[in-house]
Amino acid sequence: MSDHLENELRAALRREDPPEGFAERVLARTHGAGYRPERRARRLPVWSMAAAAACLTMTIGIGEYRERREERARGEAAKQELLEAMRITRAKLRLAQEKVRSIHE
Amino acid sequence: MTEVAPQEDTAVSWAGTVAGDSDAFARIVREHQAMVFSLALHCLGDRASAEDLSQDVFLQLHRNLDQIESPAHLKFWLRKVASHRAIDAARRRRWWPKFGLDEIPEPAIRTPAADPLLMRRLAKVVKTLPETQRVIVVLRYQEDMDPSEIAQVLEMPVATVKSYLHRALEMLRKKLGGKKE
Amino acid sequence: MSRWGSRWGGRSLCAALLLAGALQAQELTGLRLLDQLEAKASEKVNVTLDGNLLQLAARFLSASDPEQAQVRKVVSKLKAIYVRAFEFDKEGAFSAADVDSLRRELKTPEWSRIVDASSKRDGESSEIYLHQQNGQVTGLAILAYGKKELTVVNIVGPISIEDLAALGGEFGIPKIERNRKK
Repeated sequence: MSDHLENELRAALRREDPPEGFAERVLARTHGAGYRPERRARRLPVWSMAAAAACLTMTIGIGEYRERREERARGEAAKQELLEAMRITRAKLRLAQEKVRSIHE
Repeated sequence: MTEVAPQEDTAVSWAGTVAGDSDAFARIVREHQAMVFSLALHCLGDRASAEDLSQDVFLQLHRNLDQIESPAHLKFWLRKVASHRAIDAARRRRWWPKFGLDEIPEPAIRTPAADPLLMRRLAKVVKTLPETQRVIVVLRYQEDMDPSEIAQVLEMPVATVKSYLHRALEMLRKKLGGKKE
Repeated sequence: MSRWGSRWGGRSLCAALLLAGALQAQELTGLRLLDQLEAKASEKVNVTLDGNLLQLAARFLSASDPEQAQVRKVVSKLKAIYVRAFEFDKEGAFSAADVDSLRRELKTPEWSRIVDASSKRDGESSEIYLHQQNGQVTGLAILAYGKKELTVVNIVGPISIEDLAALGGEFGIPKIERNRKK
């Protein structure tokens, strides 16, 4: 079964990248306090997790962390708007181009 | 995707490589993040929930990395876990305000497939499908999987997947303005 | 403030006003009037990205994603992007006057209409305009509508032929000079 709707679904459901820094956030969670990997080989001693958490807290103050998170949220939202604006521009330029071609043919 | 039955030698060597390489997990996340995130996004509809769900999928993977037998098995595992989590998450949020099929307006004019407004409307209509049908449609058209592959991921008979897919497409066609052949 | 300071301050102010004037000429003020159509629209996109917000958005574009890398290249020199796109359930949700007010703005000498493809039968129209200063393209406007759809795009800032081609439109743009029409 292959028709117009299926092609449109493929376009509408295309893969999208997650927000910037996604992999880093996943990795940070694997090293964060309270995370317990089940595999023994990868389990870190409690003291090392506590030390890592303390270092993280010292390096990035909570306020700064929040600020960064808000900045990231604003940037991601603006990026999505920008991409949508450019997709609309591209679609309308192509539509105009197709119309011009159909007039000439 | 073909059957992902493990081949022992390959499985052992692959698992060994991953376990011995501290950057391997990071590479796995980067390679598959778009697949997992998009699956969640297309099922749930908002990026924040999709990121949360995707992070949880990768954390679950991190805990179970030693069960993964090959790159093909990894992809299968991620799709399976992400799909099941997406169905559960979508069911949990049933009470959330959402568009009913009847609230989705009829299409205004037919524009080329690349039209973002049309794409947005389509994605919105997909989100009105029942959870399992929605995931089947996403696996079929985002991941380009055939019904037998989807059946393996969702652990259901192929005939059920075909039936759900058929019903989902009929529903979408009806809502999007008649037959499109 | 010293006499020099005052003179430089005055010059800076003049330059700023000139720049603002030039920027304003590329910006379609009528675009914001279309926001009243939002309430009637079944689907809508309303994008206003200018100044810092546009630069912030560009910073978050991924260099490894081909689409985003291309967009980053195109927007790096731009000053603002405005998009209003509406789809309506019924015909007549917007009037000819809504479209004409925008067209009037596009009738200044700096704006050239490079494409005018319309079909009276279908009630559809696609118009593309370029804003030019000193031989450089410094803005783009797209006006596209059908009976139940209206889209206006306004890009402010230098945009090259290559950028336009990358976005999907070629239109034989080198011919603009010869085929300039109003």
